[in-house]
Amino acid sequence: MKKKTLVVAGAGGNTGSHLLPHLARMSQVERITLVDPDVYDEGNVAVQNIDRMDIGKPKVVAQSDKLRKIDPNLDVTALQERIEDVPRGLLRCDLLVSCLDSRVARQHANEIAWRLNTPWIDCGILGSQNLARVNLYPTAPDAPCLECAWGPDDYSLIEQEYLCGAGSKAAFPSMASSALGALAASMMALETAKLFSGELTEPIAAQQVVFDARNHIVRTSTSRRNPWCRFDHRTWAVRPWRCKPESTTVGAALKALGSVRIEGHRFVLDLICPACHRQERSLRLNRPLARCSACGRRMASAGFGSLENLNQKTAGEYADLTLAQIGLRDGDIVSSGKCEHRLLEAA
Amino acid sequence: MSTNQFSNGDTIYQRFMERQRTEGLALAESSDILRLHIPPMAPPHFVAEYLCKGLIRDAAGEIKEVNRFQVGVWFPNDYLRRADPFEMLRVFTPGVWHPNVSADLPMICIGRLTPNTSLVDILYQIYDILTYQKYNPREDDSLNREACSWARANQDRFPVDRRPLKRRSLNLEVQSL
Repeated sequence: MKKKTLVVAGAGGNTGSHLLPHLARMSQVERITLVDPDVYDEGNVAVQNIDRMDIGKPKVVAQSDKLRKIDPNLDVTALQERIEDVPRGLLRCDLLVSCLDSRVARQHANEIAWRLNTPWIDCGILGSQNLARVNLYPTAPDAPCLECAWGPDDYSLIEQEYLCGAGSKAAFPSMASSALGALAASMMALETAKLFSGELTEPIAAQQVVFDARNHIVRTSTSRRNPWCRFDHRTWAVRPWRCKPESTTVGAALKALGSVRIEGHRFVLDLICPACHRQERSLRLNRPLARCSACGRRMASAGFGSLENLNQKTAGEYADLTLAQIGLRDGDIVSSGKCEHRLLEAA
Repeated sequence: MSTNQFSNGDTIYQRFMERQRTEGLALAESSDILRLHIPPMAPPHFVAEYLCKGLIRDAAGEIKEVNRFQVGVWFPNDYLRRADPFEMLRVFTPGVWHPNVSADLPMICIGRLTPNTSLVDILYQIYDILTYQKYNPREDDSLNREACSWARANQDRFPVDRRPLKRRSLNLEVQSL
């Protein structure tokens, strides 16, 4: 049987921390990539599957240590960043699993699953009503995506950080119990096992299972593709392109590929520091942007002038910078021209 | 594979941008205050020129009334799904004196922005700010705290321009009998 690879986004949280040991114990699983930007704090011990020794450690580091103790042969990669910032090539896998706590992160996970043509399992918990939810998104051409079920209200609830603090809606902890997180984790692990054993034969419908632990009710529903969905549902055909971001220049990349775009990000030409108000003109990918060299605050785009695409005309004056200098990394997937997608791989 | 395209190949985003352009130009057409410029990198870029009264602080530190402002509005290609107003907007007029506009950076804060908000709505929001029909009275999340304290002490001066952005149509043609 072919061994499976998994990416777990939100790997260290209430559901993720309970889910990982189940995944590590599955004989089919060969590689797990953990993605989570956070560090464990005091409060996490109450609801997450950790102990006091983990406080202060990055969640992905603490969790990968635990997984290696369960199965020393498991190939574990830890990425301490938000899923939307990870080079997409590093997220290629047989199944994307997400245990995220914000709408915006789920939206990115959805987009990544489609681009990489990977089945996706998402979950959510609602502490106030003791609800645990698991959603299965297969990759069939006409399958629905997360956003197919979204209306204008859902989009207006997307968390966005505002530089002036105007009504920022940051994700807040779900305050769900450890038991509820573990319930969602078990439901996800069972779906994962079914998918890997071939019990769920494709094409399977997109399914949602909600367990209402307060009233002992299980609800299932299926969804359909929404022709007016704001997401385009495109998938990529990725081809390797061997280059070292540290030594390949923007000019050389444009010559080889014609144009360069890193989806989910933009190239910023005018950078500003919201804290010390320093301004800087240079070409950078907003992955997010680097920190201000003067005060350490993360830089922001000055607005209006970002580029979705680099080409000879727009990036000519930056031709001598290397791809690493403008913020590209190994594993980034470059879209060039109409539908070519290339993976940056170290030579 | 179906990718949410209209029969002529337009994506939902292209269709949206076409509508913003039409509606934006129509608003400018029916306004004595607003002019809408579409720079060569169009369609997703617009520069709005407001011939309205507003305030700037000049190099000597004096707060004075001027009657012309330029603000750029750019729509990223994922705008229907997520929106960051700071990435989209840029104030081209230097020295604007307002709690919602930075004194030295080209930033304006129009508050929360829902993805898919129309260009026309954004143009109205910018106008309300420039003319002090709206301003943020709270120093702690203001882009210009000094202007914020100043604004609280000078509330009787606002709004500095009270004309509506859109010309009120008064059809006073005399019909010949």
